[in-house]
Amino acid sequence: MPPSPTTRAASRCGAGLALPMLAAATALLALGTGARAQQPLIRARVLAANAPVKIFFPTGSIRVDAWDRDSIEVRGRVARGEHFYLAGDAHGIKLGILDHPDGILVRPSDIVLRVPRASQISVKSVSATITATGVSGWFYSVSGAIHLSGRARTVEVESLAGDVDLGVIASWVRARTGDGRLVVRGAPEDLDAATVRGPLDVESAGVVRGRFASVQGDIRFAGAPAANGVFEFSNHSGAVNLVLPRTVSATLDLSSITGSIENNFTQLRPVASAPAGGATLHLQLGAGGPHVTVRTFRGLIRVGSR
Amino acid sequence: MTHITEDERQGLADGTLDADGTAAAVAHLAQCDACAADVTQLRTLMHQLHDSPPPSSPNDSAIEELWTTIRARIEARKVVELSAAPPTHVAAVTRSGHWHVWRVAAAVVAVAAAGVVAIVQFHSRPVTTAAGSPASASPAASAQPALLQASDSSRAYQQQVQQLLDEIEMQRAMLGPTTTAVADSDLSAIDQAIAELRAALLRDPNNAALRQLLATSYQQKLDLLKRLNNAS
Repeated sequence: MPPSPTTRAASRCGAGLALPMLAAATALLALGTGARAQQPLIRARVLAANAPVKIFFPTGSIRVDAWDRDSIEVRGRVARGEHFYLAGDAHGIKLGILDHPDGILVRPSDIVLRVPRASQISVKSVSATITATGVSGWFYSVSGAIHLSGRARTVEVESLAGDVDLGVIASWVRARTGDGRLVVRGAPEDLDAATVRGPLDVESAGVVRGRFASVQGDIRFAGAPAANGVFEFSNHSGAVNLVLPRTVSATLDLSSITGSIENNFTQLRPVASAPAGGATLHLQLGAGGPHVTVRTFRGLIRVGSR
Repeated sequence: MTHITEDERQGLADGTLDADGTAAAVAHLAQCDACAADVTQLRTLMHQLHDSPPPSSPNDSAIEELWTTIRARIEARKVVELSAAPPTHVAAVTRSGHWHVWRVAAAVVAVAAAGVVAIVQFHSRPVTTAAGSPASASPAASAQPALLQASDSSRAYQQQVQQLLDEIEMQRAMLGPTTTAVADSDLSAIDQAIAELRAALLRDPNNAALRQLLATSYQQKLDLLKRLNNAS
């Protein structure tokens, strides 16, 4: 029997309503799934003041804060399907997200750690953003950004392609990245910073011994070299820009094998060096004091004042 | 005796372990002083942490909701004091073998690199004549030993680097295409710089700045290989 006009109308009405209802249900389901995509996590352990903490955190974000307690606390959200691990005792902890043995990509998680101020941190990530405050140790990422701040004893940062931003007060800092931008602020007393192709920006008045290198990235140093400081800049084809206070006291030895030197600080002109066509310049500014050496192969060397 | 896992301890301490797991864990605690002491310690720590201000994070609200639940469960359970013997069953943290091997390999290469750098730096001292003045009048005579030394040091460096590159080649599949592409570009940039510096050094073997730049480039390459090893 054919459907009556009333039935057909009801059917059309039902079909007309079904689509928006289905869409709404799908949206609600997606919302619910999104909210449950990460599981909340809280872990805690007693930990000796100077204990090592070894972390493997592939992707997402991880923050490590120092605190004045003899324990470690982990809070955050772990992606559904990923396994958070924590093992060890009061003398050392290792924690993180397990890698998949079958090569499936790990989904991003987000955690915040609080660790004893004197603990020795070791963080290894693939693409996770690493942020740390007031802690010492080794921080490594393949492509994730690394941002460190606060007071620490020693800091070593390594990345293949990620940006590195250091605003630490520390006695010893070593930082490396390849393509990423490396920015150093704060007051690292002994600083060794290098990039391959990424720019290197140093803006600090606290560096006493500094070694800066790149292959193709531009190096920019802005600040007052500390009295009795020793600074060495090396670049192959990238530029080296020194921006010094007008009243600075320093001895500068600048040389470029095939590149040029711009002196915007004094009237002294660089000496052309045959046969390669490069230039050298020796500058004694003020009473001397800190010694600055700059070498490039063909990168421009520029000295100017703030 | 098989001890309860870290997750079971934490779950027992904050009350998030399911009923079956709780029953099994409680049965274990009755027979194991070490695990019992550890869980007691965790419960105490959970109480202390709850009283501390939480760190700010994008997920704070969700975490605090969880804390409220945990707190309620802890309160409802009424923590029973157990013996305070320190836990002895938890294995001490050791560096994973994988990382350790790479670290050792990198250290060996770094030592070799240090040797190269030292040799190059040694040669960066100005060559002086018997009279003590720079030997700018006889560049050809002083160039030969300097070239030989630079050649030797480069050879030693290249052997070490090749060994490391061979190892990285084996790990290449684990690195991922993006990482590999970035690393290849960086290595290419450094190799090009090294080639240019070596060619320039052949033309001007006594140039101290060239030697220093070459030493820095060698060091850059070794640093990059170490970072690449860490990525695999």
